Amino acid sequence: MSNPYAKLPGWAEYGLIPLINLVVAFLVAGLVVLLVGENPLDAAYHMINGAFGRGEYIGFTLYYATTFIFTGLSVAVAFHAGLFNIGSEGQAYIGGIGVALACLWLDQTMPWYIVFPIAMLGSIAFGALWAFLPGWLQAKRGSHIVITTIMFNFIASSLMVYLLTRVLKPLGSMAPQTRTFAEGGQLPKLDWLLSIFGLDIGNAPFNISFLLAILAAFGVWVLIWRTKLGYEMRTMGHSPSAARYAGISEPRIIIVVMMISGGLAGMMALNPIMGEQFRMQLDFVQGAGFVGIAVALMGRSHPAGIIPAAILFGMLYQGALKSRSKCRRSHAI
Amino acid sequence: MPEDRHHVGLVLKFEESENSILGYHHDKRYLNGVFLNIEAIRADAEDKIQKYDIRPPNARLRTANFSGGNQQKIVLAREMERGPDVLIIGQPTRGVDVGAIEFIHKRIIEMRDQGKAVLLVSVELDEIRALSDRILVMFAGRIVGERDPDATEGELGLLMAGVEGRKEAAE
Repeated sequence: MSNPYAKLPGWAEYGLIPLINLVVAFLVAGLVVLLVGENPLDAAYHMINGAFGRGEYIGFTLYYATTFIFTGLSVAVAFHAGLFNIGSEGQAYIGGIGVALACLWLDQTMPWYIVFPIAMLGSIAFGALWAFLPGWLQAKRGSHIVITTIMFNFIASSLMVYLLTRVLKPLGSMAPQTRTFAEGGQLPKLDWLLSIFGLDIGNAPFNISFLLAILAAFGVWVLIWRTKLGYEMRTMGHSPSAARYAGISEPRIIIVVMMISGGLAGMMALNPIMGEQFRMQLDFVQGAGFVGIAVALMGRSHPAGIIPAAILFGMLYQGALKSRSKCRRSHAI
Repeated sequence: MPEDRHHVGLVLKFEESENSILGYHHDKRYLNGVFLNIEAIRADAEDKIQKYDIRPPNARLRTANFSGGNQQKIVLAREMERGPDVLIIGQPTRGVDVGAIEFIHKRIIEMRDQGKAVLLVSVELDEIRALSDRILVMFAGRIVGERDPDATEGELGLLMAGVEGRKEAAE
């Protein structure tokens, strides 16, 4: 009997197919490198070496991965309820306000382990708020979430320009950024984690928000597969008509899911603001929200897939930066 | 019991056990606070699989991989095991194999014998005549006649076409 829902075995669907995708992507990218007259094997070597060649490089790779885990989870949570949240970018950006306010308020008087949880709650609150509005509009007014979240990215961007040039900028400074935080607003690095493997972290900003990202990934797994809310989300995601039959309130799920998604995106701001720059700068998100969409798709919206996908994208980011500087150098010679 | 099991009655991508609580997932039996009680849900699903002879007997299998008849039995088990006093059933045997039809019919009669009210909605005249105690025929959104189950198909057919109905209404 033909079965339209035939499913590949798990190892093929979640292991082999992404692997083949990756290999094909590398081959196509290799062709492009060949076209511009460089050796693709060299490029691949520089890229992988740039991402994993040294403890410091690995630290950078995992630092980027931390950011992508948060935004990937954010997109994935919404996916499970059949919502396509393209606004993780803006939600992460606005989430930064929560982090910055907590740090500006407490950094000089409190140690980081007090500031960090408060900044986390702040980032969740602001991110969730920014996702609540599109969620509410979708639930009550039927405005499509894809459109509204994209629009909210632009509103977030303008709002942040205003805040960073007029409100949060210290007096007498020209740069659109907050003041640099004192020690209380700086997260400790995970140098001990890398030194377990005999690696030296160097200058890499790999910090404890990575551990928070792993915790968040576990939390998302519990939420989606082990809670009643997750059950309702998945029912709605797979079949809105069955959800209606089962008495699940669609507006409620849309709003709640968008707020969770926005909260996860907001937490991303902890990593660059408290972990690397120790201040909030203009455009600190740098497209991580959009990378989150790719991470969620590649990780099949499962936390166990999102973490490796995020590390892969972290590797691509860090490796690309390194190989670019290598190329420039060889041309200069 | 909804007539469209693919889009309304079931979520085809769910495990069988997840579908066996659809609509009743607020029940305390299936929950630990806000968390799902996975063991209780699976045990309950396995119990229903036994009672309703759902094949293959695997509560963790994706619902899409069950045959139409067995999918329908999953819905039937879910709704009947709640012990409702009134059961409205839409098209219980559409796209269902002969063995399962017989099984489903037997269960519906059992419900009746327990003194429960069953409202069966179907386009299968044979099914209606075999199961019903009273037949109400609708035409253009109105009930146009009531017949005994031994009414002939021709008689019911005329009612369904609105012919007899108009005469009756005129009388």
